[in-house]
Amino acid sequence: MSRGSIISILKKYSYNLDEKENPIAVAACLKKLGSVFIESENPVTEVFFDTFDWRLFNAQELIFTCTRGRASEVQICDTGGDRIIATFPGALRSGFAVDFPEGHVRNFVTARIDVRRLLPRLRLVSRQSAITVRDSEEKIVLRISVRRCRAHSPGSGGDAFPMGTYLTVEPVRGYNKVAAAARALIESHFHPPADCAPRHIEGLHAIGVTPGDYSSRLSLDLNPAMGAADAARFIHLTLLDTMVRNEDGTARNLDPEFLHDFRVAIRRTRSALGQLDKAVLPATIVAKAKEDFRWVGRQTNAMRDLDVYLIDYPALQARLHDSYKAHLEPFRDHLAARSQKEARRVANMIRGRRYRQIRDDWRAYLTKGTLADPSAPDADTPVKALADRRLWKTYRRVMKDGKAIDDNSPAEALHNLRIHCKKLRYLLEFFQSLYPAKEIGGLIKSLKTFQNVLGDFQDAEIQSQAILGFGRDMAAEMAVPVETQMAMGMVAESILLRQQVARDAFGYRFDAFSRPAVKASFRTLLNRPE
Amino acid sequence: MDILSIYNMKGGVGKTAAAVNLAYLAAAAGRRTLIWDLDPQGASSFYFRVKPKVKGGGKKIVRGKSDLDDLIKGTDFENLDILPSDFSYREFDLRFADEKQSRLKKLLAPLKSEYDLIVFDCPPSISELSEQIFFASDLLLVPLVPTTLSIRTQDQIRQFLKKEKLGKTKVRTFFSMVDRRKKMHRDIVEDFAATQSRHFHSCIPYSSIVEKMGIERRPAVDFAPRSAPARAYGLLWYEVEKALA
Repeated sequence: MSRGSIISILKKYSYNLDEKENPIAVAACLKKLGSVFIESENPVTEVFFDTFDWRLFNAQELIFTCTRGRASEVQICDTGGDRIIATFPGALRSGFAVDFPEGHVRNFVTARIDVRRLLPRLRLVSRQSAITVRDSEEKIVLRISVRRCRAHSPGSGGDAFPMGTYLTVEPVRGYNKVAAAARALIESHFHPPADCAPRHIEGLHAIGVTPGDYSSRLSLDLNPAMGAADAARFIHLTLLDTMVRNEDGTARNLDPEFLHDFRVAIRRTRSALGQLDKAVLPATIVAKAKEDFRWVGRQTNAMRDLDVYLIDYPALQARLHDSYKAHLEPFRDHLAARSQKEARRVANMIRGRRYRQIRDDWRAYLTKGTLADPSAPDADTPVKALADRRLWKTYRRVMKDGKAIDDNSPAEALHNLRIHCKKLRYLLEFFQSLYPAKEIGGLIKSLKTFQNVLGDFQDAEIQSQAILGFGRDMAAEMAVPVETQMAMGMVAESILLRQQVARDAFGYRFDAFSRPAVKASFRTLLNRPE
Repeated sequence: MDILSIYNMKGGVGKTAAAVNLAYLAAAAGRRTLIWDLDPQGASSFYFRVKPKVKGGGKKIVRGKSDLDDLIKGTDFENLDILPSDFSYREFDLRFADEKQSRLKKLLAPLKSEYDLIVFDCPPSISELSEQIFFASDLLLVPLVPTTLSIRTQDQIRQFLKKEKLGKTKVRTFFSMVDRRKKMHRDIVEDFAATQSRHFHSCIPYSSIVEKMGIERRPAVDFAPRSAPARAYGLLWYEVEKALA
């Protein structure tokens, strides 16, 4: 394992040659450069990993395991292999950041994948020949690898997709001239295509996977003149796709982000039904869908709350005095056990008849052709006009509720304000493409900062109440040591302190959001002159 | 980045063999390692099959006019690079004479992010260059042949460090070229180990395997990994790594 900071190494040059080319032909082409040896030919299996939302691909980085014979190692590098971040023997176990060696490597991986699990995305099986060029001292001055690759979907078996012959020139430091000469010889002899995508990208395409094909960020491209009903259908279908794509990962509880994204898609759907679809879609359809998705959302509440607790657990434990840290462990065990139970319940729900019916009925309705309904007066209204109107109304509601909050307001008032802020945020995100990116981006950012305070406040409210419930449940199930009860009490206290901090921050965060410049931006953007 | 110097003012005590094998073991353990062959005789460079020549010579290096990065060569081994020897290094004493004690350390600063370990294979002398080496080193590793005269040198090195106000430099000794057939070697090894606290217990045996490095032109731990010297270098690396931690 590399222990120091990330380094730059010599750039490697890759070429995609015709499948019929072989190491002997490559060695013959290079003989002018010195003594050329074909050192070995070995079978190599590489498994490339990424998170479901392609965090490594987006960061232009790679994590893969490489197996030669019985030896296997994990490599972390950038897409082109120009930067080796770390290599260490072994294979990935669960695929979480905790599987990586402690220290800068784990920190690096955590910064990229956070709580997500690395999933196997591609298996490349190749015959790799190592060619070396040596000088008069028999010193290696150039390395070349020739691979004949076949791409497979991850997991065993499956079809193999031939990918041609990959040649990589690996310069040895201090011998760049030899590498340049080798490249010239290879290019003139084999005439390879000018652009050679990294082999894992070619491999993904070969097995029919488009890297970067999922993001939790909502990206809708609406036409301002589009009718509101068509826009609503488009938004709902996009959200439904997100829901469906996260079903399997949620049911298998692969990592907490699947459920998170699944729930966000449901919340956005519910928000759209409430904010956007009034007077756009038929009232009976809207009422039924609202009820259906409220039910789906509720089924997942407990599991998400437990996920949040488990994610926060290390931070909660870290706040305790050292002498109490170990006593909190039974609490984590209780959370983990409850979480497993809830995960099974959610899996049953997703695989169950009621959820599938809701999902399929909703898709059938959204795709049945026209949604125009004579009883929905805004169905044909241009979406931009509707967006201006709805955004302005929701913004004013947020301002009105925010101004009414003072130091004595109950927690419920802050919770209601948070809900309206979420509605505003979702509307801004649905309609983002209808407005200048910089302006609407700035408003979303201002709102997000303000929302964070409300989120912290509400999370603390729920968590501090929930911990009492957990304590009661644990006491009912087993004999809880008094030290554990005290440690849980300390956690509850630290949560309440955090809530107080959020409450104290509310005033100036709201002042920042309600400053004249932000209001003027909303007015300009939504065509609402003073 | 750690700096490990294999040093003794005496020649023929196994400095280069230790430097080459330890650098190899460090690289094999995953440390990005650079060995700098400071000895104008160029034995380390020879063992790694690299020509003992650097563009611009030692003069440009000391003046900071050569970018060390451009002078480094990759060896045949993963994670292991070499800054080769050059005959002009014989003038290093002269070149460093007008420089501050920290000059060599300063020259290495740009390599900090690139390497985890730099190993100096030092020439046999006690001079201006030695002072620079002592100042830069995190660990000064002194191979001693178990003879009376040879072990006297370690006292001389410690006295020199004290005199030059380099007393903080961590110094560790180990026995090299130990011939177990000789009673004197056995006695000195045992007595010394019993009385010295800043001494590593690994003993590198006198062996034809080490001599064969000149024929094989690669570290003994690579071509004879199960041999007695390879095992001894393995133990020595274990002790060095602990001392550097």
